[in-house]
Amino acid sequence: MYETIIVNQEEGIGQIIFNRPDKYNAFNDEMLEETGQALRMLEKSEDIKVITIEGTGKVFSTGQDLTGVDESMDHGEMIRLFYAPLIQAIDTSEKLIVAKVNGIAAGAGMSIALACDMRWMRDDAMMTSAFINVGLVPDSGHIFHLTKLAGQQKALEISLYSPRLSARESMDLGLVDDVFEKDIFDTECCARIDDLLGKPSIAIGLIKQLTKRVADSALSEFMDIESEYQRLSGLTEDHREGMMAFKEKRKAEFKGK
Amino acid sequence: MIWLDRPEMNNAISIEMTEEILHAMECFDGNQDVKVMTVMGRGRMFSSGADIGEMKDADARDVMVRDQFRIWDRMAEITKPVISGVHKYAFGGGFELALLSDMIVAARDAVFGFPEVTIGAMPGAGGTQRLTRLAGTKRTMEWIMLGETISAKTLHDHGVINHLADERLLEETVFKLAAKLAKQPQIALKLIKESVNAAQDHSLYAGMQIERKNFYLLFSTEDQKIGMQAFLDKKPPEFRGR
Repeated sequence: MYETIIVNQEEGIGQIIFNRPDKYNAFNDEMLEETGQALRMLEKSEDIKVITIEGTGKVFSTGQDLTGVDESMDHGEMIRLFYAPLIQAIDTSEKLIVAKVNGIAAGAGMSIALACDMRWMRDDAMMTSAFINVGLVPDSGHIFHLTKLAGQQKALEISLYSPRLSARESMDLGLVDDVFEKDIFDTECCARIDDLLGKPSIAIGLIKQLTKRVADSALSEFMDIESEYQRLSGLTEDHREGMMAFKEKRKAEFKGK
Repeated sequence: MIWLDRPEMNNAISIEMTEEILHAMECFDGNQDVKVMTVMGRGRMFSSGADIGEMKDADARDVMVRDQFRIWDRMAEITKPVISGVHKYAFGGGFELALLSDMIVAARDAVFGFPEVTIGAMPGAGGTQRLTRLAGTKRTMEWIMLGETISAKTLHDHGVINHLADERLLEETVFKLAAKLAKQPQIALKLIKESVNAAQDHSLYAGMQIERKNFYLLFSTEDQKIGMQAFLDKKPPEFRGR
């Protein structure tokens, strides 16, 4: 099936694990291709409510595999063909996609973590931009998402100086949503995901998309889309269940329908 | 309601399908009870385009003698409003069918395009004409020459698409628009359609003459009397289609 990643599906969770441990989970064409395939496959599955992305071992991903980069390479094409579709697939997905930053996330590895809907980081992990060190501009939406999370000035500083950002620093900058100690990282992540799985998943997907529309819509257009999404939510079984549970003063049992 | 219903063929438009669409449209056009028509696709997409298998081996003489596009000319002669609702893909003939209708509602993530050039052909059912009139020469030239896909958003920005809706609400959106049109004075809609279309084929002067005659003609309808009286009475009009 997959050579460079591991994909698991159970109990509503689709798990993608970058798996090139001898290359620090760096991206070659194959890993990019397989990650895209896995995302598309999980996106189509009605059973999957949350997708997580992480790396094997102590590394999230160190970005583009530089051993494949030579003078013949068209870096622009590389982004158009591989990275951009991946970043856009995360963006347009109606499932919640969480990066579990279990170790170092560098270059495009950091970009992909930033493109996810949420990031949870292990306390001994670190993130670094790294692009400037090889004379390139930060790519794969790096600056776009950095700016959204930390503001324009911080995005510039991080891009220019490529500091090694510890988990705490990443948290303080707003780049990650939570930091967990390494011993409890997995159990904490599981608990958070369980919590999310208990929520109405159709509404979650629509909420995610609405938060994205803020940046690229005028208020009138936003309200149009909002009314559409509210119509869709209003038609779900989960909405009826939520109303019922409220009246009956009990906890709602959402089914994602 | 007309549904493209060859989902296993991605609603590829065969000659038989165009004949059936035309037949349905002409019946509806002549039926007093029908006020608006909708065209949508069943299954995964609106339509992937013409049925290529059907014409692969044809030579120019066959194609000319068959002159399959005459059918499309007659679709354009339909006098009642036609709304198409497009989801997922409308390529080639599918896109042309949508362009032929009076209004297009599209799913927000729908994709359009004329890929004919990639198989050594070109649009033949009005694509080069209708899209050019809507989006301009330069853009249309590039889209059709490269056979590139065009997003619904882009076409909406260029005024080719009336409304965008979430795919899950496409049918509902189309039917709401149709219901609004169905409440309008029907003869006025017919004459408005003729007049607006005249703007494409006539000089401004000739178009204005058609508009004016149609305007005068409406004063022979009951709906004009009902509408103006209701306006003066400050009540909503109830049109009768006469």
